[in-house]
Amino acid sequence: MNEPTNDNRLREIMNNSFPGGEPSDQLEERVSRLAATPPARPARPLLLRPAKAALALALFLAVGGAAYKIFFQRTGEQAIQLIPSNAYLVVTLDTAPSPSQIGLWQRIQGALDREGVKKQIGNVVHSLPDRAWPEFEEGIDKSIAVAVIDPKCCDVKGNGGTVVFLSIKDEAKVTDVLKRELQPVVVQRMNGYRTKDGSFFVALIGGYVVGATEPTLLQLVKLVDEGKLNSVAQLPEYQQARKALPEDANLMLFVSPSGLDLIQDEGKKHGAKPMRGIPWMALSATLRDDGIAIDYKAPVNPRSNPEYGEFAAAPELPAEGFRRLPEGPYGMMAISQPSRFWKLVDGAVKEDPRGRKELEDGLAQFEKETGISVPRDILPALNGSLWLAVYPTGTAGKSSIDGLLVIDDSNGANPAPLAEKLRAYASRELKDQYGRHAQFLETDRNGVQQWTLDPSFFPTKPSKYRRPGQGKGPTINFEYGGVPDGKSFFQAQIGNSILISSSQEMLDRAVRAFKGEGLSLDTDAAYTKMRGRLPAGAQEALFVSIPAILERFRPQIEKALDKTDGISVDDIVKVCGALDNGLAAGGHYDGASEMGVFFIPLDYERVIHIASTGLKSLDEMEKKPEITGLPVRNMVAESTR
Amino acid sequence: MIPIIWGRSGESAALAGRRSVNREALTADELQRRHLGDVFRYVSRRIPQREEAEDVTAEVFAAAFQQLHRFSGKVEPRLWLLGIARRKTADWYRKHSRGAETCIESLPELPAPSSDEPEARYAQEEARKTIRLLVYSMKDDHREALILHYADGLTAAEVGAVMGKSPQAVHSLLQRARAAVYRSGSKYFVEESEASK
Repeated sequence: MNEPTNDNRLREIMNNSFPGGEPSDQLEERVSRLAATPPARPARPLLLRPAKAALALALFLAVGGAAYKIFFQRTGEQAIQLIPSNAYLVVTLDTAPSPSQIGLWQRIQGALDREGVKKQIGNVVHSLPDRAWPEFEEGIDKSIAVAVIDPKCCDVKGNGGTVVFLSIKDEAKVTDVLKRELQPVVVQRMNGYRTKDGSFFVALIGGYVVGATEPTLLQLVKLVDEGKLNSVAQLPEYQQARKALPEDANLMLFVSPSGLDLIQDEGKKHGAKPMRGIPWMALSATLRDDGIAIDYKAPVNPRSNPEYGEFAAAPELPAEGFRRLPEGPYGMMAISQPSRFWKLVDGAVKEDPRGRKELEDGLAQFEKETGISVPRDILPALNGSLWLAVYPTGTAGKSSIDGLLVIDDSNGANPAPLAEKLRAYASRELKDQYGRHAQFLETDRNGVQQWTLDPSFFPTKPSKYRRPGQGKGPTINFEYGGVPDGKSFFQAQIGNSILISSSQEMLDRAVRAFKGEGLSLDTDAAYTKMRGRLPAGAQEALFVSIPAILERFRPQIEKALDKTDGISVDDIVKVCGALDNGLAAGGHYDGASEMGVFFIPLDYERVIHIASTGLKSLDEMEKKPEITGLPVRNMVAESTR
Repeated sequence: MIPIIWGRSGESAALAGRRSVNREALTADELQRRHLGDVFRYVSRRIPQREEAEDVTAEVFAAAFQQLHRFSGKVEPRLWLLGIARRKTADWYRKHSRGAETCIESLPELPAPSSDEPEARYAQEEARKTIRLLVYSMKDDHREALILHYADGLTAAEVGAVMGKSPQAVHSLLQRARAAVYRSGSKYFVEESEASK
């Protein structure tokens, strides 16, 4: 009898104590968008027997490369076959997805459809005076290649210029538009078209619409198509470059040996050799699930560029370094053996007696003033690795930011004497308003030797300045100076490694992590993911936890956002993805090539939503009734007349 | 005729073993239309911050839409979604390293008690606070079973389907959870002697 009575009472109290809310319109819209996104294709079970599966795998690997290009129509990249080998620069853009990008393409496609971006772009295109473009667009593929070509190599007269390659999907449609809109001409014994003003020439060559500012360039492409001239694809340098970039790269840029020669020649005119020992350069951008990965590679000949060649001796960033830094920074950078950069400076003036003397004089002056010698104090201190990071600190109610610098003693480096000389220099040079020199207080904290700049040296309260207004002059009233509470110079020494931070709280965390006692970057989910993006053997790294930084500014963003414009706080805060995503960059020189990665974190759906909302609002601004009787577009036109 | 198990069609339909679901009808749109409210209420009862609750709800549906092809139809779609919501909510707590204490601190203001009488209002408010503290100090399983049954309004069998436990195990959990609430919050419940009058 008791139970049902109490049961009902409990139900009532529970309902009162845990009231569930109702979903907002924004949430409904968000989930609708998700519902409209086609789900990733489900993985199908492998039904084949193991032997068959192995055979299929072997076949796939054998013909994979070729099949991939055929089935996934990398028509932008294939245009390389038509570009003359003397091209300075080649850019290809492939918009067909690789097998690993199919899911991502569906997401992007879904987002574009939901946001009506295609329609918006269509509106822009249709508003152009050239009405033929939409029809022309139907006849071509969305992949493209662009090359900058110099014709002086061949028996062809004319100027250099840019050539554009668009892969043909429907030749009849393309021909129809070209015939209707352009003037048929014979370009260098080849049928083609030109614009009415004669500034642009077009021909259909090898399955591409090839456009150029100079008819000669079309002739060169034709010669390549006929096999009478070599293409970029046949260059061993291009083949090496292609191999170094991801197979499914969407955008590729290749600077050929002739392109670099041109830059070198230009540099020589100004007394510099910017591309010494670099035969070619290549860069690619590839869309990944959570951002864009930019990869680059350039061979650097250590014999032509001995200073750079010494970079190869720098060891990989030590994994131990990641275990020694506390978790959760907003961003950090790390450099292995920073002293090697000095060799670049030194090498740059080696052959220039005047420059050499200026450098030596400068160093002598620096040593005289500071008591610190670059070759004897700074370089031996920077033979290990250097880590610089920025952390969120403080409490929820009083949040703050602190910096941390760690210079370790790996590779036999000894930064401790340099730190001592720097403290001595600071004590000599820094004086407060009473002429008192800065003091460093030495303590032993948790078994670690530490130095702190005397807190009384920096006034924590800002000085006030007030000048009453005289006559019509305004009253001047402002505050200046003042160091935030708890911030100063804090240094610890563990072994010969030094740790410098801007607060005691930060230094304590750093010391704990350095001693392996606290949580470190090694177990930080975001930084583990970002580290995974670096090239093997990375000697430098830069990580920025953009989502965490944006999350910190959420209240300010919320305040600044106009809630009626369709962009939510989450759209901004999470535009670079979830908290485990971030910007990552790193490089490595192995004695033959410099290679590296730059990863830009992105949430494509949010980027598309923001861009589309921006486009819509621009559109609405244009449609708004005019103030002076003229529509905005006309007003702009009027004002530019 | 194949019965369609949509919405709250009764305890038996929720139980394992019922495979007769018209899966043709289970589309992403339908899931959203019928169960967005259920899922959001579930999440918002456990994650008080509205924006966070909305994020988690969106994650629940994103996961559900991705897994739609795997939905076996053995349980009601609503319970299947609540099962996902339970895991996503647990993930949220792990990610934010928030224990129950933080959650109590950050509980939003509740709507004003319904009574006009100041004394009654005070009593209602006291009861709510006490119960919330009590519930958040319970073991995870006890708390989950109690909220699912008494706040979300699920039957024991449905609670079992969401939590992956047998109805007997749920009954046992509920019994212990109730006993703890009655014991610590005795002043809000009817005395046994009084009830039997």
